[in-house]
Amino acid sequence: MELLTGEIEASPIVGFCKSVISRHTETWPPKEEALAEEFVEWLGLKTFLTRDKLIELCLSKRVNLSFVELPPELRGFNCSYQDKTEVVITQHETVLGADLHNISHEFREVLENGFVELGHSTLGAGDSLEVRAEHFAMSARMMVVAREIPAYLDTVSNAESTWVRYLGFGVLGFVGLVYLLSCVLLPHFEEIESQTNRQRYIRT
Amino acid sequence: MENFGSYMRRLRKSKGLTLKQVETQAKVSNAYISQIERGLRKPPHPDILKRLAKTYDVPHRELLVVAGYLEEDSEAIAARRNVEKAFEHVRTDPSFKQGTRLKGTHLSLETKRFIVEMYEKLTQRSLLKEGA
Repeated sequence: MELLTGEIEASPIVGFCKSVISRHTETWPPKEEALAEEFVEWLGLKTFLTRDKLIELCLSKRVNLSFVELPPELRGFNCSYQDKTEVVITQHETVLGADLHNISHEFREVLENGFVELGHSTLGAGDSLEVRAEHFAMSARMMVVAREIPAYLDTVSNAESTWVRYLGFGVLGFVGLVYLLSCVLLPHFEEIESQTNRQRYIRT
Repeated sequence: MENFGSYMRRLRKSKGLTLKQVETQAKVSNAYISQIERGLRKPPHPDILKRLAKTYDVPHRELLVVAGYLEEDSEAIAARRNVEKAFEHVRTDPSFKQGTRLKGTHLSLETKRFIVEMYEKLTQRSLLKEGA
């Protein structure tokens, strides 16, 4: 029995699920935004990460991440068997930020398996995990930038020249706005891109 | 085998397309598509099927087979059955958990094969070669 407990606790995902449950017992299930905030902190996500760095981060949580050629209708895939977890993301993602969105989406589904195993599903009757995972992925990308904004603001406010400071704040505001919009609108951009590809295919 | 009309309707819905969108993309009248889907018309000419195949992102040959213009060769039928059987095994194995981020809701044979291959990789079992 002790061995079994040890095995369960050895999984970083189950460990994370347990700590989330313990922090949100009173208000279970947590909102996707709250879950995303904890996830971003746990995985150590940042705005600009290379695919190699993302693979490294996932590996630190014993999740194998790979970017491969997927069938056309698949953007991402996750699977778990015993203590092995795989996340596979399409290597042909042309929309900026889609990798982070896809990874977060897949992780949300993996986390749900962990919550279910621990008897704490976050889904109510009629809830769709797919919809929740999309919400979670958007929130995760927003949390990533929200965590980094104070550091950027600090850097800009330390600029000696007044006009450089104004320019810096302006650029930060603009980039921040574009980024936040991209978080919310990414699924729509993907759909447009998918439609455009289909049209191009029809034309050729 | 599923009749042609309901197959076409399922395909369109899985891609999240309206009749009007199909009309725009495939240059086929939406009323005509609607009649095909309801089984009021025979399967269209292979040229029209070619345009619909591109709109729905499926192989032209697949539509020709379902429409009855071509017969699937026995090897292809056996391969398809093998994948479907293996996928059913994967889908119902409670120890294997999986999820996807899909464009639409239609799982093509290619996707099912991919999921089975991932199952084989993780479980070290062989389904496609031996049959589930």
